[in-house]
Amino acid sequence: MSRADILEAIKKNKPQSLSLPDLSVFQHEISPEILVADFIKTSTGNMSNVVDLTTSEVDLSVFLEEFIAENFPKATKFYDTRSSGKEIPENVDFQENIDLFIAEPKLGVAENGCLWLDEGILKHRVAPFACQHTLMVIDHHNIVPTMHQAYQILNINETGYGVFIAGPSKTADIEQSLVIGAQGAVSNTVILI
Amino acid sequence: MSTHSEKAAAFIKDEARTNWHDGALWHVREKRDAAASLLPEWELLRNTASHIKDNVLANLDDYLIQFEAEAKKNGVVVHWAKDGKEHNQIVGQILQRSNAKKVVKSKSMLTEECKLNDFLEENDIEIIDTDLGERIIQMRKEEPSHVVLPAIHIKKEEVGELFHKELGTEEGNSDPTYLTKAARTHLRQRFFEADAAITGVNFGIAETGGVVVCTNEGNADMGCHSAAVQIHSMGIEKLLPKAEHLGVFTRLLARSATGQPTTIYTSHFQKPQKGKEMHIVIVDNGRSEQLGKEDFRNSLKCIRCGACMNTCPIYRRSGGHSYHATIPGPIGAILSPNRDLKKYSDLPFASTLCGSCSDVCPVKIDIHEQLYKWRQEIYKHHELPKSKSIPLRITGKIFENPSIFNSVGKIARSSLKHLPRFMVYNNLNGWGKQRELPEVPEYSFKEWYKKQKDE
Ligand code: SF4
Repeated sequence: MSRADILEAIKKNKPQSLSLPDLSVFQHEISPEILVADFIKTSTGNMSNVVDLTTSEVDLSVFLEEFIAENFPKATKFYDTRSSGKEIPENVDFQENIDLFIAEPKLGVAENGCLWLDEGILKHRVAPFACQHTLMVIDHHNIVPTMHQAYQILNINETGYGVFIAGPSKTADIEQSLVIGAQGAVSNTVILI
Repeated sequence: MSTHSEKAAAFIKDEARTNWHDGALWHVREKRDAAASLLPEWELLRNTASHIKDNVLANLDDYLIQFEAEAKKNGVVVHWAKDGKEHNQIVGQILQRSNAKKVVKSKSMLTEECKLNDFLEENDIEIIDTDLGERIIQMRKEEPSHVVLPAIHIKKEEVGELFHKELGTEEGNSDPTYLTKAARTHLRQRFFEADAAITGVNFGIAETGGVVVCTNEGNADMGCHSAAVQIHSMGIEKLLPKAEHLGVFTRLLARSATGQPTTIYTSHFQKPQKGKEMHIVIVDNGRSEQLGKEDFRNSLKCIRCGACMNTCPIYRRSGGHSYHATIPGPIGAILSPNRDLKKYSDLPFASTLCGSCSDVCPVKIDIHEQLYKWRQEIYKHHELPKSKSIPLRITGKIFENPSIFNSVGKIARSSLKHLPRFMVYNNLNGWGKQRELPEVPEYSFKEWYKKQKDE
């Protein structure tokens, strides 16, 4: 049986064990202002559109309604996973073009613009990939410096699936020219509150 | 079969393309440098990654057992394959049982290594590569020439022509945005039709039994979430002990590969979707044997970022296909001889041993040192390519005898200066191809030294 053979071969051939390195060296204390500034910079670098509301006094739901009307005027089909969002039906046909996916990621990462969504939020795993545009609303208190802190906070095994999304889908497979909107969402908007 | 140097010679015949290929890859290398320099702890990260992998290799059997147990708890079906053939059979059986006829695949060098596509096609199963670069390669019936940039050797005009023929795009239109949009429409249909999806694995986590897949296009997710069956093919060496170790590796991977701070999607697959199936196939295919070779086991730390290819002066100018192996470039030249020393004995010589590959490797594999060690192994096993073995035998004789050495030097110095060009720059002298030899010095070092002392 291959399982036994493989494990046996490994046992015979493996080197002497070394202990695991200390990861606490990667802890950083970074001020909230710098975290927000870094997050905006990396997200923009990943081709996301970022709207910074951290210092403004607007009512979020009013703002969003206007923002969507202005920026996605042709959008008719929505997939809104927020607690305040509309009920999502069990059977969604993702083959029909769904225009806008809206979610509140659990956390964001300043060093690379990653936003964490898991199955608990998503409901349908394919939603942020199959929808044409994604819109993420994230509280700036939930931004951590690096991936190390992100993995400390998250329990990736909490649901069946979780994903870091850092921008719209992209490719540079044709002569190294960057093209946005390869297979997944063609745009990603981050609203920072 | 033709060797690396023969295939490289064919590639560099097109000088403009060679220069373009060289430049494109160097540009990626520069982006990697810029990204690395933004992290003051970059070297610490590389060291840490290398140490984590040391621990993984030393406990690999235990981690695999733990991984399997956790995955099963999550409702995942785990399979073990000792080689590529068994891997293909397992995948074939899974597909057969679920009556899957249409399969979408997200880029995986492991399934390339196992020649899965050929196997499935022989068994009347349609398999579509969904990474754009891979799709282009698949339509051209070629193999990828790079582990991260599979179509780096192809010009946009060629893609335009190909898509015109295959997807009915406008003739003569080779605008990358236009072509990518056409591919998007074509592939979206395939995703929704697919019965099963196959992906490679960037990292498996022993602690949770889940797998992590990194893409920029989102194709792995489009496939896995749409199809009823998802299959992940994973080499035994891909494991990490705990989720927290992902912090180290996800920080290194994309920065080393393309200079991005992260891949756009980093997906963590833990459990099957409700009413659907999730399988993981754990593949050995020579890896456990490599583990036993002290000099070469470090190569198992590789995370397939491609940085060593982007920086290698030989790879950049000879193209990935010249390595006639699934994994090209410096790391491929270490992995391939492990599989078949005779067939790949030319590859460890396709290096200047400048050490640039080792300098950029995010997991600190001593790549150029291993290439040097392979050369010695190959010499011991008498597998040296002729172009190396004959000159080496002659030089060996010359070095053995000081008086021959001195007179040969003298003859060479005077003849190189006086011989007509055609006698120096010809097929017998590989060093005279595509380059001018340096000017010949008046004296040998010994003569010069003696003169200095006398004066
Ligand atoms: S050997 Fe190192 S640099 Fe080369 S692909 Fe593997 S991890 Fe990257």
